[in-house]
Amino acid sequence: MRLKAGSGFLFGPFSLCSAGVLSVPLPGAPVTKLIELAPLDWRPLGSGAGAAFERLQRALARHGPQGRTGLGNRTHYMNNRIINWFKFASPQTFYPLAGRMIPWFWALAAAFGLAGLYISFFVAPTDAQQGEGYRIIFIHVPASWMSMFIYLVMAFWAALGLGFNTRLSGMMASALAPTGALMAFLSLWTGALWGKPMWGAWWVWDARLTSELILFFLYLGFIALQSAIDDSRRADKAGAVLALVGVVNIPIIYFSVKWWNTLHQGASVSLTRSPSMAQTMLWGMLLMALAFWMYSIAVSLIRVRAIILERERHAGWVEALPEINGRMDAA
Amino acid sequence: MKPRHKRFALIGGGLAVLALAAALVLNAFQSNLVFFFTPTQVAAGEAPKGKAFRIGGLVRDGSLKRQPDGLTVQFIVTDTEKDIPVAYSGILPDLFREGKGVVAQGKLDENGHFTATEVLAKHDENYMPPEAQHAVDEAHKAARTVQP
Repeated sequence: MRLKAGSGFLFGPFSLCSAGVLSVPLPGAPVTKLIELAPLDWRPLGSGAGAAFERLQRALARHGPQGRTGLGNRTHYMNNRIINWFKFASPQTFYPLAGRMIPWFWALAAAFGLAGLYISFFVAPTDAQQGEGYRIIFIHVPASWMSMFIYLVMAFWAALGLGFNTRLSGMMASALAPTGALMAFLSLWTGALWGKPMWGAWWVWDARLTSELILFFLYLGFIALQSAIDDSRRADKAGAVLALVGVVNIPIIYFSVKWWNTLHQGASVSLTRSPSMAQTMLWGMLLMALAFWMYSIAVSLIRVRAIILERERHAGWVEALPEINGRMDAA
Repeated sequence: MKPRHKRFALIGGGLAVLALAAALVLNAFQSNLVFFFTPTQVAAGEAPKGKAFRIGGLVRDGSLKRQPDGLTVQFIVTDTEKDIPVAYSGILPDLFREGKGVVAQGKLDENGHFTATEVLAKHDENYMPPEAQHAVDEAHKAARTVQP
């Protein structure tokens, strides 16, 4: 795995997106030209990548002014990164990378989850108003955050897929949808369980709850639309348009409690002011949010691997995989 | 412009148009999207007349009166500007407290009395342990200089 640690940290919220993204700025014309020459579904594993890299180096030595200056090393490093990022846009190279990342994300999810649950149950104090019932926020708030965030990531992949016509982008979008739907459902369900004793109602049609319900339906609609179309490329395109249209709902959910009078309370945690919440409660919630996040990444990677295998099942490299090969021998 | 750039421009343009449309629609429905009216809005005549609607505000301290039947209650909903007296018969939610937020659904009569068919407690965004709440209450008490 050769993703640079620095960029991964910088794009923290998008760490799931970073693998296989083509979003690095392309320095200099020769590089762009080379990229253009490459087929959209780039499969540069093995000799292809090496040859492309050599051509790139030669091109830079010829055209790039930096090639002959002291900046040479730095350009080399930059180009190296571009090659690697492009490399992971191909299902063939992303499949093993995802396989290697999954255990790490499971481990992180377990670590954050254990710490978060411990704080949630044993350290965080009882709330003065709601008693123990408030502890639902340790599930409810992370699930709600993730339901919105996963949708943004899904729409981001959908846009990339529409623009670049990459196969992997569509697969990522469809791999994220079920987890997003699960999070939206959890958010609605735990909210209802809390609402009955605290508010006095399971459900009210206020702006926050309604827009979150619409988000849940958007996820379901996305999944249904994709599975209704047999041709996977067309399914990806249709789903991508739906996902992008639904993106307007996300700011509506987030700001609904500010824009309108709602029964749902305002945000306790926001970027613009200090949280109106006891310190340990906040820690429990943030750790649980991290755990949910890592879980979402791990489970989406597992799902995207399954989708890759299903859609590429006729490709030679899939048949050559030990896990496929072994099974076929056994059968 | 390469086809790829054109596609991205289309996506960006589409999203911008969509955002504008959503903003206009939400703006048009502004009044329908509110979950409740504040007493000030009711006093200004913004609330629907002769129809059921919701009012929201704080339960005024010391205004809660229980009838002997144990179910009928009267209290005053205030937004510190205007007050609305509310009568309700039924079970109050756990978080219903004096000085805390409440949303009541019902009808307003000619005398400005609100008869509620449903009362919901509105929780605020503050989460704190009892000790902190106790400290806050003590501070309030000290301000009123009431000796036990």
